Amino acid sequence: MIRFAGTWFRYGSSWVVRDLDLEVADGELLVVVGPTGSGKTTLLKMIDGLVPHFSGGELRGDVIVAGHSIRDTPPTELAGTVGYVGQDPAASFVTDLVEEEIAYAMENLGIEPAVMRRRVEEALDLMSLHELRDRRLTTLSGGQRQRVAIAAVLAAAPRILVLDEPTAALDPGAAEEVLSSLTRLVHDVGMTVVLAEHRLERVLPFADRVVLLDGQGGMVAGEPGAVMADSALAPPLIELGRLAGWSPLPITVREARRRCGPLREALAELPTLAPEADGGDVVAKTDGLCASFGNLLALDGVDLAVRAGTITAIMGRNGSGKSTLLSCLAGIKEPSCGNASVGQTPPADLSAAERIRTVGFVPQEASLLLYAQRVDEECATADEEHGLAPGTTAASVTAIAGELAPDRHPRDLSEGQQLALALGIVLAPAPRLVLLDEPTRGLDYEAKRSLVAILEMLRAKGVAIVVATHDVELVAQVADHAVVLAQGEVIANGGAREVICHTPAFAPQVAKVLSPLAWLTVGEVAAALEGSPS
Amino acid sequence: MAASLFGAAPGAAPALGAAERTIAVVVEFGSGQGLPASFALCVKEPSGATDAQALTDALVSRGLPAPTYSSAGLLCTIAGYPSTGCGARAPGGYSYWAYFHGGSSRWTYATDGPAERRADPAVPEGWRFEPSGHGNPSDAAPDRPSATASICPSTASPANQPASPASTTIPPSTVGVTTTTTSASTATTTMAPPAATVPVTRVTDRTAERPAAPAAVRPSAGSLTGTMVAVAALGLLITIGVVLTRRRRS
Amino acid sequence: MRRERTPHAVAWWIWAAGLALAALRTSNPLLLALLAAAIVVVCVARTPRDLQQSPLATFARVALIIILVRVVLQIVFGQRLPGHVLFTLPSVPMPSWAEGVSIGGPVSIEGLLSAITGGLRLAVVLLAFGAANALASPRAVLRSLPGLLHEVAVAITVALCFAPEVLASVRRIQQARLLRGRPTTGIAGMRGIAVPVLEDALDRSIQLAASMGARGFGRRPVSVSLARERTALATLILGSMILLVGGYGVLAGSSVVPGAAWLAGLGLAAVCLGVGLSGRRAARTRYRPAPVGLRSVACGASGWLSALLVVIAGVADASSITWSPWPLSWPQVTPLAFAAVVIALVPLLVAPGEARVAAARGTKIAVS
Repeated sequence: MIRFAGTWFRYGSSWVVRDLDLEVADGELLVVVGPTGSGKTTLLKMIDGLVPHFSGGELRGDVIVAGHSIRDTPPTELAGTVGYVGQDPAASFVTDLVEEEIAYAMENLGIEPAVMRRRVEEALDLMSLHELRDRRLTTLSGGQRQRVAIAAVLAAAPRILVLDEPTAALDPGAAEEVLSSLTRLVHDVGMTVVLAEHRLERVLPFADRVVLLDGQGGMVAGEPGAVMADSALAPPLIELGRLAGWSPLPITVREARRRCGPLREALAELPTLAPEADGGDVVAKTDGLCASFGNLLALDGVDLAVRAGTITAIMGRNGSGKSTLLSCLAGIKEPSCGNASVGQTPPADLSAAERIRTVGFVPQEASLLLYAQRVDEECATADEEHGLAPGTTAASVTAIAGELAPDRHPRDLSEGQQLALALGIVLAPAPRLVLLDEPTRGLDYEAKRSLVAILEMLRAKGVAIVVATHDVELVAQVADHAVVLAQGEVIANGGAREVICHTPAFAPQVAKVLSPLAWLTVGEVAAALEGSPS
Repeated sequence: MAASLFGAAPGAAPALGAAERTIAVVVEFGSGQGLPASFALCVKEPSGATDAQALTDALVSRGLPAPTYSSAGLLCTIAGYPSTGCGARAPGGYSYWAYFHGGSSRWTYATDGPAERRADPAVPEGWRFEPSGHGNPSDAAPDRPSATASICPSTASPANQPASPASTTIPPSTVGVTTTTTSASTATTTMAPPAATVPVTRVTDRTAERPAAPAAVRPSAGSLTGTMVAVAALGLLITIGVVLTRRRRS
Repeated sequence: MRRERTPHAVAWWIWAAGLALAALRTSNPLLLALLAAAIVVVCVARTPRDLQQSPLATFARVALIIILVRVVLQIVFGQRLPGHVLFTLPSVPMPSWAEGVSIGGPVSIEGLLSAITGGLRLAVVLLAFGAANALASPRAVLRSLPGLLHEVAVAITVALCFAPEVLASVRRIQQARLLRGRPTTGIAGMRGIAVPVLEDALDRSIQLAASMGARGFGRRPVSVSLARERTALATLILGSMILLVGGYGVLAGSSVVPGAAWLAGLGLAAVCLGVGLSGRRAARTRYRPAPVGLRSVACGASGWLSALLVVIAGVADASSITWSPWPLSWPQVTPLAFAAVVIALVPLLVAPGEARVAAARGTKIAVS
């Protein structure tokens, strides 16, 4: 169906794709994984001809898609064959209603109105969008948008579906929904699906084959189990399998549970884990906090206390009020009732300068905090604005991000580096409270590991940290407390271990495997096994 | 009528200051149909006044209706003439009032409007009705001489004696035309006796060119019903709008 | 064919255009205010409920600003026609080369009324288009354009999406700057915001272009001859230009462009010919085209009938649609002009309210 034949590609001087040979069979679900910058997106876009026709750059060799060479077939001509869904589905919307968006590609292809009508209904059914057919695209949640974007390319009945990080912005439930819809397509319609994803734990169970890019132009392809056996990137499930010495490695939680009897018994005899430390003083708290956007109540009576030296995770579906809660704590959103306070004062009452010294907030798009042309300039202006001694910010950035070339443009850095730089700037005035909104979005495993290290270091220093996230594995690794929000209300609040083990939707893989034991991470298990006499 | 609700009639009382100058105004109803008629007026204006003010004052002091303007500021009627249309299309061009600046030798077609032009004793303002003009300098200029000295001779005298009610001579060029004469120095509405002796009837009485009576250009009195009904309807629509908006919000 | 439930999107825009035309033909403030009120009432009563923020509010705000600006300009630079002086601003003597410009001086009731009326006229035009935007998405209108204009329509659609997105990105960036305690206003603030906003905007445009390309936008039909398509396009463009000139002539009151009505008719004919020539281009199809029926016709026609009535009212009695504050008088609304306003309200009858639309569709409307 798709054949990369000795394909090389580069935008500038260095090759992003080197001598790639790969064949994707009809009806296969292929997952492309690899660190940031390893060329996943480029590879995906080649299948649709967007690279090189839209991007420019130099292509050697060829890619044959359903018998067409992408060299002489522009994306427009491939529209009936390949459906491409980019990283940000909202950026691809052309019309303004769900139904029209789904019909758009078919209209361009000149499909008979009667056929078009039938296919729109099919696409609505496949993606469970029936209820939403008359809705405006701007009123949809992230998961719904992703499903509409997929339905919009599906309706044109392509033989190949290409998706770039389809679950990056989704909560675990919505991600599950999208991925199972995709599996249904592969099974029922025989569609060929190629998708790129950072969150392996989500997609691995659905993959027929995995392509692992190493970032140096190298590539491994094969069955998920085989590829994962010696991959540096691995979800917790695989790591647990390696630890327990299972072979072949389990790909799904179900497989692992069937095999983990002995492990579970061994762990059950070990002493129960010590409860989390209570932490220090209360740094921030909310009392019956509400916040609204027009008629929409985003937060409805939230009570919360954040203590020094702890990490609190805030979880919940898309649109459950996580970001709004952080905005209230950061003082950039006025509560409509109740109050939020940091120390003794509501953060909204603080002056800008005081607020920066008290609360550090890294928004979902960390890059928004960066606007200088060079890294060193960024640090220097931050010193000036925050009234710090020259060099303070630079030191803080180095402590967190490592050495960054001072003359790099901040927007050219990778997502992980941008986050670290933004975090370094925010932390320079030494705030007592740090808020992070969805920090692992777009981060690969390596970057995520260093984020965990940073968070642990901050906790040790006695900083209170609040993280709003969909990433259950991150929560499992670092959080002391967890709060689950639904429709702006707190539905669970307590120790992270207790909360996430008892909320199936938010349980990490290790907890699912070892349930009913309350183990959260492979690290914990490994440490416990080492310490035990057996 | 309606205007009286707003107070005094426009142009009734320009402030009399020390810096009053005499402004010459020439109005010609044109010679389109072989019925030439014109009059010249001299009016005292304070130094900041505009040509538009001078024209109004001159007409009002004669008991003639003040000029009317369109909503865009185009001059429509002088002394109630013409009774319909404002810069309306006519065979071969437009029928409109052309505006000229005078000078010692000739009239020049004005490129500005009377409201932007500061009245100047040395530059008489000339108005000529063009029954089929083109709206550009090719349109015919007033027949009367263009120099202040010929229009308001007394002011041209070096002494500038204020109290000499002198009649202007009929210029030889305006053949067969009955013209008004003005009392040069006391033409303002302070109503010195000589002004009262210069009645409207001095304006040519040829029927076709006779300025219409004031009542003809104003909407007739007693038709406020239309206004009232419209205001009531407006109120009703606004109420409906507010009620609907409330209901949507709730 | 589906049954027609609501007027077609295009019908709403035609209605609004008719009313805008009516407004442009009159300088009677009372009639203008009535037209504005009629537009607002129809819009408020028939705007779909799921529209989060009605564009009408935005347009109304702009309209108000226009009136204010006109009044301020009138006070500062306005025409100094004689009238009832309210107050006198100190006037600035201008050098001889700027004789025509006057600053300050006496401010009269007449001048202010003239400024308000002039502003009101533009305001009604804006309100008409705000209402059209609220009642029917401009994208729905563009979808109904003939296939020949499809590329143009999509370009406009994208531009229409673009403005709100830029606003959204300005808001996000301002908020992020607030987090770093940076100024968000003033020149320094603007500079810092402009660069990321432009970068963002450019990124989005490229992504959208790629998405459109990947979904088959701009595919050339094989069956239609290039020559025919070009002829059709040329006819269409030429026709639109003639229509534009003619239309301007009609609006400006006949004296500017000779034979304006003829030109407009010729232009319209050429446009129709162009569309007809291109009509066989079947490369694109349309998904569930909205049916056009009596409701749409009544809705569109009411706007133009209203404009026609205003014109007739003017012919019958010029003073009913033209009004000038020199000399001051109460604006009159004659029965004919009044009928124009009543006709403008016809869509209230032919377009069903939200509840009935929902019932017809068989879906429930959430009422919060």
